[in-house]
Amino acid sequence: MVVVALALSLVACAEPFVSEPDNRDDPVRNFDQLWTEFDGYYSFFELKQIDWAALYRTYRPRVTPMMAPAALFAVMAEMLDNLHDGHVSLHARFADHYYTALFTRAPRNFDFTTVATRYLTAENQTERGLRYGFVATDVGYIWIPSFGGDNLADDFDHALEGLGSLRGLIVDVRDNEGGSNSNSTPMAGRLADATRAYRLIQYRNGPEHDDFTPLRTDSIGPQGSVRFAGPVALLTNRRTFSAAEDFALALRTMPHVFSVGDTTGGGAGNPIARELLNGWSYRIPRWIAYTPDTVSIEGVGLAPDTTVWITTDDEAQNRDSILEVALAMIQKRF
Amino acid sequence: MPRGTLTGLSNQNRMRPLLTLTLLASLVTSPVAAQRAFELGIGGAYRAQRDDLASPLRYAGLGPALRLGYAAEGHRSRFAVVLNAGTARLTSAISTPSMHYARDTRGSLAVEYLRQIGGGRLAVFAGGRFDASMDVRQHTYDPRTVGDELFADLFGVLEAAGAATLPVGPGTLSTTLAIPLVSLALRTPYTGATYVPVPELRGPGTLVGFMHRVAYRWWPTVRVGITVLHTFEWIHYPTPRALSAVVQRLGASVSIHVGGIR
Repeated sequence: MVVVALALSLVACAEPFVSEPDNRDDPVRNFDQLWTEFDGYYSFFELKQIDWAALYRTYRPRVTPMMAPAALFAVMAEMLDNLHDGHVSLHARFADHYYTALFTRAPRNFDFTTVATRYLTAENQTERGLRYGFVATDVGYIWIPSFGGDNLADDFDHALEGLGSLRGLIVDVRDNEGGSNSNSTPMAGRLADATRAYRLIQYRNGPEHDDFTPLRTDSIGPQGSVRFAGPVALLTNRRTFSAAEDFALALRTMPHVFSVGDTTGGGAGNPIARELLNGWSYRIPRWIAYTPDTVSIEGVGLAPDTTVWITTDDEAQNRDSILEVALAMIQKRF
Repeated sequence: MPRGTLTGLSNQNRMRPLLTLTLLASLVTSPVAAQRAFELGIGGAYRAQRDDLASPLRYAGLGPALRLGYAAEGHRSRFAVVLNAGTARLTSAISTPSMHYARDTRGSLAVEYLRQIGGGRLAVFAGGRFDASMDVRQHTYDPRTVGDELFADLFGVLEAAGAATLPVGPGTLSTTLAIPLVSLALRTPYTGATYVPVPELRGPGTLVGFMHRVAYRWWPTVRVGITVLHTFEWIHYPTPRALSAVVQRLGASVSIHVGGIR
């Protein structure tokens, strides 16, 4: 009893020094906090020519102290959509909001079922979901659906070892919406033949919209004991995003790699996670990634070396024309 | 505004840490210690914080704490080195079992030297203290959607310290108060980015706080002593995003007398 009383008194002693914020569910307070956090952290105001103060003046009048959570969520989501950013998201227990327009600007250009049923032989799946097999004699195929999770490079090694001796390799990152650079970078290293600079990044580091660190150069070089340095075709579509675009950026530097398909999604903002007073979570991109010649890919994406779209006729015939073109181009390199 | 440059005080204020170190050095003598003892203790630590870099909410939690120490007490001086470590799961008003919580792990190393300035039954000491602490927090927001973030803070704080001791019953009651003079702070960068930040030198006014310790020690045997102590630490670091934290420790330790006369 004495111990409990003592413990409670010790907890109470902390309150004057570290106080609990009040009015946590106040819609106005939460809206202001969201706007202020983005004002302080978001990295693309200058690049995208966004007048964030004007958006506050537009949306703040719609927020009232007594409005329902769902209504507040809708106003916040609508305001955030003005950033046109696939990395920005807002989450409450009753709803999730993402900006998906980047992915729907073009046809999907991918259906793995078509690949698996029409083109892939000796298909296998690794523990963390990579799908691999052969699309021709001596030409392997690996689909990487995501760069999320832990130690994905182990799966990539497993797939390369499973494919054995190859003369060509197709690496498919269509519909890969990203994950972690801790996966995409070492996996790109499995295909690198030399060390080269592949991107420049700078972090937002202050309250002004143009407060950034100096540019930092990132390089990609050979990594891992299992590697392939023969001809590689990288397949991309609009849903190739975030860490998958970093992967594509890295592979662009390699002379034995060429890309086929559609432009990538255009998102390399490396978001941070945060929370509002009312418990909603959100993500804010905090850096800008550039190609080695300082071109930003945000909202623009990376165009492939060879643009190919899967037409509606192709879909009706269950054809993946992107895969077919990539295979033909690889076989010409033998 | 490029970050990554060493910021600090004005030339005049840079003299303060040098003067403080000189003062401490003048207080240090090397007498043969009357008593030397090692100490091992366990207990609990309660941490409450608001870190505007991570969240607008107050996070708090209770967890185990470990204490290792060495103390040498001379006729009129006291020297101690103490290592504290602890971990706790911090929760907030919005926490659930799987979301909006932080796993906090903290360690600190303190070196303290005090010299008696007042005699009698109530002995009064003055001196200095250096406390180096590191705190790492894995903040889980929402594993389903936005995931989690890692935050880390390092502080090296030079403090002015004062203490008083009073014999009570079979043991000695002591109270110690320390206040930061100058600090070296290394906080998670502005956007929680992974680039390496540069330590920043901070004077009083930009890193405020205090440490207060109350301890009661008695020696049931010639060799073995028991100490019950409570420590209250508060730190407030206002820039660039404010951090305010309280750590309270309550525990007991066993001291083993290893040399000198008791």
